[in-house]
Amino acid sequence: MINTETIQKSQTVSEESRSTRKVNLPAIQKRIKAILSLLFRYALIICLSYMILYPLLQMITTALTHPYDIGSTASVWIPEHITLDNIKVATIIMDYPKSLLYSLTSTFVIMLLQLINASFAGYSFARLKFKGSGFLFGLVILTIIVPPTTMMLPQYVYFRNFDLFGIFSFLTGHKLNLLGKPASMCLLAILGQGLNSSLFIYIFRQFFRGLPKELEEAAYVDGAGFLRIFTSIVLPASKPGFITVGVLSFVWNWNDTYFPLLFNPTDRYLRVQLNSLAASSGGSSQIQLAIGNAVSKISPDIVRLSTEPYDKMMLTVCKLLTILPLIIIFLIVQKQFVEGVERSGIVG
Amino acid sequence: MSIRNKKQKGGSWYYRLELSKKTRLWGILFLLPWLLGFFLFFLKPLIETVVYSFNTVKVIEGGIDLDFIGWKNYIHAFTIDTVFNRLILTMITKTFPQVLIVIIFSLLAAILINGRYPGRSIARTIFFIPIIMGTNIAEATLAGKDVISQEIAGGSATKAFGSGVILDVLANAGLPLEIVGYVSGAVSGIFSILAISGVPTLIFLAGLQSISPSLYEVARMEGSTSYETFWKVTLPMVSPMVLVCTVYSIIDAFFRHNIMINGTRYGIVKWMRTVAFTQANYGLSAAMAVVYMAVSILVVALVSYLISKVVFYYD
Repeated sequence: MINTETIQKSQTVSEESRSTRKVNLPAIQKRIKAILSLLFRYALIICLSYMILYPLLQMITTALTHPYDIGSTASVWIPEHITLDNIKVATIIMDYPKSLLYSLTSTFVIMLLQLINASFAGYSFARLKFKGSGFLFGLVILTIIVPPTTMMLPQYVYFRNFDLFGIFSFLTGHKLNLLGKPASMCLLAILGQGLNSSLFIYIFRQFFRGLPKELEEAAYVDGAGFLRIFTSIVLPASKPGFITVGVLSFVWNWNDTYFPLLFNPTDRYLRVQLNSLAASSGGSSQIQLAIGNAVSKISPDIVRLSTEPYDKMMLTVCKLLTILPLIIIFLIVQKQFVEGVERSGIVG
Repeated sequence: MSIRNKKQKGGSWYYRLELSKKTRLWGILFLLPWLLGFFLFFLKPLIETVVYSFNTVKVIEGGIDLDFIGWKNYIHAFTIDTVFNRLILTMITKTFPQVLIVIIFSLLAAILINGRYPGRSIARTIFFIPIIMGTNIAEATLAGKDVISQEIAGGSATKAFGSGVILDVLANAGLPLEIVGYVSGAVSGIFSILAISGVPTLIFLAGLQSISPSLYEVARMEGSTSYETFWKVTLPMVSPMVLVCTVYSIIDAFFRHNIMINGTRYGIVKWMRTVAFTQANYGLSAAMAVVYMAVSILVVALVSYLISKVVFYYD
């Protein structure tokens, strides 16, 4: 009812304007309105972008500030004396190249395993439906809801005395201790119980459901098996989906400290190391301790202080170094990532 | 050719199967790793945790030693433990307003960056940066300080925003103090809201992209204003995503929940860990985990029931 009324109104308005003047007033009004709304949108986007980028920019500025200039109000965004000393010191105390390599490889392996498991399971839920697969998908949702901390202790005990159907105690005579080894986290990832694995299964299911079914049917009629359909038809067609899930998996695993601290507590993970650097222990700061440990490697002409503001600044530099690889990777794949998000249609 | 040859060689029983049976076989095969993981690393530990919560647990060489004590662990968790009951209570009361703000904010942000305008790819990249910056389900509440989120949430940034001015204006305008407090809380927490809205914004954006343009065309032809279009087209069409985002945000907020008590920061996950591994009271920790799980499931079930009543499914 309302709609018809508005149509009638707009019709009468346009007729009036046409009859009174030659100039098309509503069109101009519309134009101005469109420009105004675009300006408004830009203003909002710029404001929010500034707020999102503020911490990052602040971190970069802090990293380049000369230690003697801490707290100086002479400059706001560009430091008065730009120096790379802080970054050099942070690189040494974090043992950056080694830690970076370890973090990158372990996160990448876990991401691959999660992708394999989640894509297979997601495809099964999307296309290879069988009796009871609906129920099993309900269980996937349940594993999203139940927090992983619930399983913390039994999993810990299980990995301490690891055995798969008695195979290992039969072969070697004793059970394996998988704690402190990356194998425990890889095992969780490939079996679909890693960090947010169920969420990835869910996303893959939605993605595969959105693919045109005809392609797969045609391949089947032509005599391809299910595995072959999956590897040569579905996989190439769902590259954006893989990139989306891959980025999310990589980022979440990179930033995660829950699983590494529980199963593989080593400072080789940058994020774990960052947390131990940030922790305060009995008055003396971890930053100063770390600098003390690595003092022989730091060349004497680098300026470093032992004050609290300096520690805070070094911590900021370490944070920046920790998230820098993520930002670089994200900037490389962001186009495909955004496309994947748009096409995945993570519809409920 | 090669495929057909392989098939004829590879067991005639498979070749003779019906399509539905083949589908079932491969469906189960594809799911096998997940099923194995589900039983080994989800169902079994879950049951064990429930069992532990009724026992005194000692970790011994080659396994664990159980001693049945009934509900004592639960009674201990709620009455004797000084931190846990507060954590659970504040977890529920703090999460709801926060999730409400996150959902509204991320929906608006998604609408803002959706559509065609010059520079949209840059805007999208920036809006996804909070996901990168390390605010996720497994945020570092475990290991003490969550350094990156604190950088985003706290510090000089909030002061620079000048929430004091807004607060003054609102208070002088004669609004009730509760509302003023809520608004000022939301404003001064804008950085943390921004930081945790990354994934919901992403989900909403995906949802907005999947709305058929023909619906908007119809709306325009019928002469509806953009205000009407939002309430009659956009909102119903993204309502399934509201459900997904709400569930995600609740779980996320529960997991990262932490409060300050007497100058020390306690996180719920971190506290369970401390009880289990530092105090070596595994039974108590298991009881806490069961309570935490029960609260999560109950809240999520209730919220999804309420939301699913108003959710509109197009197909």
